[in-house]
Amino acid sequence: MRTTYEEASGNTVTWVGWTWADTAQQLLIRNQGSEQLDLAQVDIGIFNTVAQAGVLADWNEILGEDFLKENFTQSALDVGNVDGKQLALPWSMASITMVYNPEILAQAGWDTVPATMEEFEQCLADVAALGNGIVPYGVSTKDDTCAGDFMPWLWTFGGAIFGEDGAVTINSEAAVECVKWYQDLLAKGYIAMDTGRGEARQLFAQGKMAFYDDAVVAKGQAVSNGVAPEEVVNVCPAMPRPVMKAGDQPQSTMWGHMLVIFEKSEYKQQAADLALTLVSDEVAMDYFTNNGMPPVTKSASEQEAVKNDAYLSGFIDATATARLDETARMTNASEIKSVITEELQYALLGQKTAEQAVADMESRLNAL
Amino acid sequence: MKAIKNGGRLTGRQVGFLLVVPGLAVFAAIILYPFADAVLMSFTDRSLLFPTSNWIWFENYVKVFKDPYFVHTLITTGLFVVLATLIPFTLGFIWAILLNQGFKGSELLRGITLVNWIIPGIAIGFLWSWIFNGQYGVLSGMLTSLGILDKGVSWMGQTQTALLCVVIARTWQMLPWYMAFLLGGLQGVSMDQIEAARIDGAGNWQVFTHVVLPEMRSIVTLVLILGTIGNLQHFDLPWTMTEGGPARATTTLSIEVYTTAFKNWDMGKAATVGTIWAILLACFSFVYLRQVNESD
Repeated sequence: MRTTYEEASGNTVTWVGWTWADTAQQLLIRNQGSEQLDLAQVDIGIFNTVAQAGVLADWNEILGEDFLKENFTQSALDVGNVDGKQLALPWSMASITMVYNPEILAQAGWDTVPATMEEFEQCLADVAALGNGIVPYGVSTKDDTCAGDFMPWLWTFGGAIFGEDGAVTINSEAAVECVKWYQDLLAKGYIAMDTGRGEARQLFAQGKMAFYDDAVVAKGQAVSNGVAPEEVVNVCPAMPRPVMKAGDQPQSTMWGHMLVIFEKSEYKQQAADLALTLVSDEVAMDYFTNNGMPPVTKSASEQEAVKNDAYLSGFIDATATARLDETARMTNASEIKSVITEELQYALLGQKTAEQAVADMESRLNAL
Repeated sequence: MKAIKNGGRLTGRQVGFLLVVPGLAVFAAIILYPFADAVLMSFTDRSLLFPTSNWIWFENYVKVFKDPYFVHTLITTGLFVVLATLIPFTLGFIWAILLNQGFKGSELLRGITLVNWIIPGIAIGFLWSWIFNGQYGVLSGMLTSLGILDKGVSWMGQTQTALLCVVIARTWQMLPWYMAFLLGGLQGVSMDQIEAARIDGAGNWQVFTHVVLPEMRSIVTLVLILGTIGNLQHFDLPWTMTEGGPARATTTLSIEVYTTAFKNWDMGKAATVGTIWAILLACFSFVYLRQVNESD
């Protein structure tokens, strides 16, 4: 993609890299150090932190509001819009939902995915009964992904971290029930401690895990493990998250990657040209085929290959009702997630009751 | 004035001062200034998100000492330092005594032992994470195969064992370092005294406690102090293996500073924890320097 732009424009692109988990930290430090940065990739989870630092340029001023509206869906643009300023250009949007291993489910006697919590727990029990070292559900119990996985389950139970007025509301009966449910799953051996997204992906790829939460990029993991792109749908299809009772809305979290240009950049136009190359149909379709990243431009998302993709359809269904991570609009998202993760771990390891852990989540979040 | 009196020549003290100036300048630029800056930062609300900050005096210190989780962090740090110093020290001492016997191949073994110490900490962290993983780890796999366990145990996912996992990895990493120092010390112990003690009827343990240890007192003290300082500063293994979890079970001061600064963006509070940490380190450094002076 870089060479495509370099060949077309005659410009040279130099890039700096870091581990993905360190992106926010690197962007903030480099900006405060007045390092010349032009274009960067951020995900929804960290976008607002970087945006609140006041270092991002407005895409409306660079590409023009009309151009953006003409080429991108409004819902995708809205994610990168802060107080009327388009501080991020959407690159790929979908949701984090659950994926499952159809082979393991079939062995456990399940031809269809569980739709309700009751069915889900029965399915986990059936999978656990298979033995063979299979972890039924790879929900994250460590690092930043733990709070991310906890959130849609909290919503499923009817709880929320924050109320509509922004007040912390996590100390609720729903949250206590959700934490107790986690404790129960752990006690029954349906979930495991020391499991993050990385471990879940590895175990899933080895056929040792029936369910876990992931974004569309799960496809890239499968492809890198030797699965043909067109076969991925048979290996790790997406499914709606089980609901409390039939008819409830399945919960999932918005996931997406965006492109940002920095206010201090001397090459905003060139950076915008590079960004347009990245979201162009040719490059976007290449990403889509190999990694599953759905394109966001109107032209690419209207292509038959995208509309008829069986793998993507599962994620698109989930995206229709996906909610933004509750911390996504907070500058201290990482700190909030750390508190939730730590308190959930205290409860899972029996050091606090569910009630105490949830009460401590609230008091610690209020103290931030 | 003295230089003039000496006919323009510099005195010994003046030459000494001039020789020290470049070193002092480098020290001031790369150690003193950043340290002073960090201490000053601890009195501000400096954030990585915003370029400006306000002077808030001791607010960060009050916040840190009122935080019940910080006391837990201090205890965890203390536990880690004690275990990660004494265990490799003891094992390193035993290994040094064995290698000091001069048996065939002991020199080769000494070289091989040092390999652990050369491997980067991050690589060691990943290696031991793989060994301790509950689902696909070597340790659980072995114990399950032997019938000792019914199923894999998430060693790093339990508060009771997570810190021990990090200590074991740290022991594996640092054992050669202790061994090298202590072997050097052992080789300096007078063989005549050992032989004299044996003629007097002393057994191995008596020789060790009454002859070897007293002769090695200064090296043992130095190694323990340096080991303690190193472990107080240590970051790589707990971060790579557990990121301070689960439930803060492996959150040491170094992890606390890192997460406060680079995950919570609160540079002022991170500097506060860092200053407290530096004071603790300074105590051990003071003991170390006094020991060095006494040895000289």
